[in-house]
This record gives sequence, structure tokens and C-alpha cells, in this order.
Amino acid sequence: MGEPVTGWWRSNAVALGALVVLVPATYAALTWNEWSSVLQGSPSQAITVEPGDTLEYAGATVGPASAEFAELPSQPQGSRVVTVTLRIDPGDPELHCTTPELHEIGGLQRQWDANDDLGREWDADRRTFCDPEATAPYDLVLDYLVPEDVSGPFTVKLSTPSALPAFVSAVVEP
Amino acid sequence: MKAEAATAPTPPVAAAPAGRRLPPWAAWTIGVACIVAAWFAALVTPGTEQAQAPFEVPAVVGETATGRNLVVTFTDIRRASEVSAGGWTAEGNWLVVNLDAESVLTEFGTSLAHTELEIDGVRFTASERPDSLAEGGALAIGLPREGSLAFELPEGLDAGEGRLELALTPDTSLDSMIVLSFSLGEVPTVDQTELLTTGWANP
Repeated sequence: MGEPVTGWWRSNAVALGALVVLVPATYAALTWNEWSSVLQGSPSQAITVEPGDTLEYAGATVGPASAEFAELPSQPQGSRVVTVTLRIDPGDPELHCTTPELHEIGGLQRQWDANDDLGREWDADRRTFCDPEATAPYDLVLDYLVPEDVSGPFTVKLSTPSALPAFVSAVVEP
Repeated sequence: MKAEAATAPTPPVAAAPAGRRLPPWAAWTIGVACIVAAWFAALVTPGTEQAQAPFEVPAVVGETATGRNLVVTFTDIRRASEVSAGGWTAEGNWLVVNLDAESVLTEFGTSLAHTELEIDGVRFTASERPDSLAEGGALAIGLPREGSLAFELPEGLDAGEGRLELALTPDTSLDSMIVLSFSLGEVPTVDQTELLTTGWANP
């Protein structure tokens, strides 16, 4: 039995070799075909901004970013508020952006949306989203409600449709 | 194998493979067996609905049920012929549950978008008439919000096997679904009940 089998493998060596190359290549091509457009159209390439640094993004200067723990009147028991301040220097063209999310680094990698329902006193000058009409530098000030045992560090994730798939990932540690 | 190998070298070279060739009936038998096996494999392969079924998490009143991104604790269940919420009141055949709900990983898209009650195969969605947790907005990570859900049932429906389903998206496939099973006939009945105001469980 041993010798004829070896013979079979030998006489089909080229076809078998082609199989070894083509099966993974097909898998890779199908995967790339499915995922490339998804990844191009969504924030998938992080540009990290270290604390205190700034960065050119979509024609604007983003950063520095900072964060601190705060207390607000309407927060429930067992929670803490992370207030993030993110400097934006709009350039040309104007910067549109989605409201930044707060991401936990490590652990469960939880994600928080900005919360404007925590009883913070109304301030007409406080911005919570990128203002496309602004020409002078301004600060985004955003509150996130997290459980008491969450301590960071975090990243603040900001993206704009025109710059996708790149997005700003600003590291903050309150 | 040994015997075969011993006899094989004696005939001329061309005959050697013929000795190892399967008898003609064997090819047909194997072919038919493969088709039958494939037929059974197709029979037991789950359909799309089963393959993408939600992951059910059974819940009990008073205990916490934890799904992927949804944690629910049912705190009370009762039937009433009159419910009120805020300044709103309505009579009817009502089933009301109180619950705490929180998310686990993300806050994005975490409202209770699927709140359905099935009683003996008939499905009801949570009433949108009173203010309830069904329109309560996003859940918070690790910080429970409390509220009620009210289901308006047809007059006379007072028994049957009930199944209350909660999930985060209207399309419940491939995500956790919290399921409270109960017998409608055993649910305590009161004349009048009030829905909880939606808010933090620990303000």
C-alpha cells in the first residue's frame, strides 16, 4: 500500500501544490472583497493622540484632550462623571464630526455616549459637537456617565465622514 | 493488506492496480450511501431561523438575568383592571411588570426595542399608551434604570402560558433575549396599579 500511495502523491504534486496555494488565496480574496468596503466606510484606522499633543485631522487641529472626574446633580448612586475637554482648531474646510465616544482602554473595552441629561448648568458657550460655522478655536466639553469602579485610562474617539477610515483616538487619563 | 501485498508482485505490472480496484457494485453502493448520508445531513442542518435564533436567557422574578449587553431584573408582575401612569389612567385587561435594566458593554443602541409578550402563541407588544420603559431611551452601563412595561390584553384572556421577551433590537437574531416564562392564571391580580416612573433605580 505504501509505495503506490507515495506514487499518487508524487504524480499529483503540482495539483496538490496549487491547492495549497489557491485555497487560502481564495479565502483571503473573498474576505478582502467583503470587508474592504466596510472598513473604508467606517472609522477603522485610529490615529492616536497622546495626552497634551495635537494632531492634524481633516484640515483641523485636534487636541490637546484632557479629562477629569466631576460630580453633577442628576447622576445616580454608584456612578461618576468623566468630563472630557477636547480642543478643536477648525481649519479649512470646516470640520463636521460625530459626537465623540469615550472608550475604555483594556478590560471590557466598554463604550460610552456623551450624556447631556446630568443636570449640568446650561452654558450657551459650551459646545458638545463640532461646530461647522466656527472659525476660532473652541473646546468640546462632554460628560460621560460611568460606574464608580471605572478609572480609565480612556480614549476619546472622534471621526468625520470626509476623513474615513481614519479617526482620532485621543488618550485621556482623569 | 499484508496478503494483498504478497500476491500483488506475482502478476505483470499492469495487473497490479486491477487487484486493488473496487468491485463494480461497490462504487454504486458507496455512491448511494453518500447520497443518503448527504440527505440526512441536509435534514439535520438548522435553517436560517434556527441558525440565527436569539440566545435566550431565562429570567425569574427577583433574580438578575444577564445577556451580552443587557441585564434585566424583573421586580414585580401583576394583572390589573385599571392602570395609571403620571396623570394617565385606563381601564382594561392589563398585565404589568416592573423591572430594572442596564447595559454591559456599550450604550449605543441600548433601548428596549423588543418588548413582546406571547400567550399561547398570540403575540402582544408593550403598550405605547402610558409612559413606560419601552420608550425609556438608552440604558446605562452598570447603572440600572427602573420602570414598568404594560401589556393590554383582550377582555377575557386570563389564563395560558405566557412568555415575555426583551431584547435591544427589533430584529432579535443572534443577540441575547431575556425571557420571563409564567402562567397567566397564576399572576396576582389587583384592582388598580400604577406604573413606575422611568428613572434611575438608585437615584
